[in-house]
Amino acid sequence: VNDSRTTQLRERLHRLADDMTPQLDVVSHVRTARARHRRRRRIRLASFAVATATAVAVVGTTTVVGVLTAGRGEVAAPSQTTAPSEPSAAEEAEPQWMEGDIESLEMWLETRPTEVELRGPTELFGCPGMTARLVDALDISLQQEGGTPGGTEECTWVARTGPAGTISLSMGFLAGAEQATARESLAGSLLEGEDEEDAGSAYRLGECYTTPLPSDRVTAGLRACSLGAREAWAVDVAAADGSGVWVFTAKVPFGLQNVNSPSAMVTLVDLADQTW
Amino acid sequence: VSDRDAEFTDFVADHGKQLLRTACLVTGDAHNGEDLLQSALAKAYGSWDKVARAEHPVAYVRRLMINTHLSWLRRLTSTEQVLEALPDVGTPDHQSAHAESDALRAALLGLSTRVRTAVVLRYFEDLSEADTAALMGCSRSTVNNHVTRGLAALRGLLAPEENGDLTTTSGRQK
Repeated sequence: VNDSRTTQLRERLHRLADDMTPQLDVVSHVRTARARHRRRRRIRLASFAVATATAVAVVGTTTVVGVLTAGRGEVAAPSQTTAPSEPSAAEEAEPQWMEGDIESLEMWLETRPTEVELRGPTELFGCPGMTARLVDALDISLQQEGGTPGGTEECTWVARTGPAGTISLSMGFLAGAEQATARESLAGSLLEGEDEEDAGSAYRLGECYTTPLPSDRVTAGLRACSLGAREAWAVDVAAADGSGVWVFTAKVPFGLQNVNSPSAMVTLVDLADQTW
Repeated sequence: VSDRDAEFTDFVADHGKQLLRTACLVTGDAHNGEDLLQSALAKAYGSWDKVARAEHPVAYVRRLMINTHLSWLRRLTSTEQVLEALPDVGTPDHQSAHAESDALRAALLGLSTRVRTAVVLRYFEDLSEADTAALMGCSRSTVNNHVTRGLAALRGLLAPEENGDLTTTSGRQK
């Protein structure tokens, strides 16, 4: 009985699909898909322009609060003021070294079985537990650098990759922060301590790109900068419960075979999503 | 024409029709189905290298499409509630030339979006319970509950001369 009914349902669904489905105009669908894709890119660039203009205004009137660098028990204090600057020509288009990376990140967001839904942490981080899971996921030898066994509001890890350089990763939560402010505070921190002479010369140090990630599935933004021989990425994700902003950073040498910035970022966000 | 455009065009020509059929069923509407397919194709075009490298590019684009569909649901909850109030399963429009299809379509629209999506993926796409769960981002038991509810709602349309219950045991399992 069940087989006959489910067979009947299959047949009727196929007949309904025959009745409902219009003729497929391949040329039109291809043309429209290309146009929609280009429109998404334009929107992203326009959003970047707005974000940059906002950043100039914000940075020009306020100090950047060093929330990320504030340890447990410390008061998050103004750490530095970044001088207002006009966006450079290099910032107005997706830089060559990022080609395809943003699409990779978007596709990961779009094809995930579930949405990224991070809540604010109810307790301090347990960094050591996450280190082992990161090592498994990325298959590289990471050492925990920041964060304490007793808990912290930020975890940082490093991996030496030989002549290619160093991989640095971090995960932090900015309680009570606004996403736009958090994104801009990251702009300076990504370049902190980086030296152009030491960084190598693959790309120009300080060439940066900022964009919201145009996804229906999560409210997130990306700030990426070239450090010369490495690239630095920061992704901010608004906590689903409105309690603050999650911030993930990855500094990865260009040209590594098994790890790149999108894959490191995806791993960090996945880990946080599994935990919170 | 670039290689990317040529490959993408071939993909749409080869698989677009099947994807559109699924899109029409899960949305319950031809126009919305075309729009859903378009959204998925635009995203696929933007990352064509990744789609083309996937083990099953069609499954990849189908995942994009279903995720987009379920995201629309979250943004359009009020619309979904309106759709739930559509005609009774048991009163198909007999004046329609496609009364049977109309009745099934109305009945599908009477289901919640997630239940309808689960039924379509299980019995139209013929996916296993596990694959349906993976695609919808939920557990197998949730899929089973959705399908059981869906089949119960559709029972009146299927073999109306019988009154036995439908169960979900006959779907293909991997």
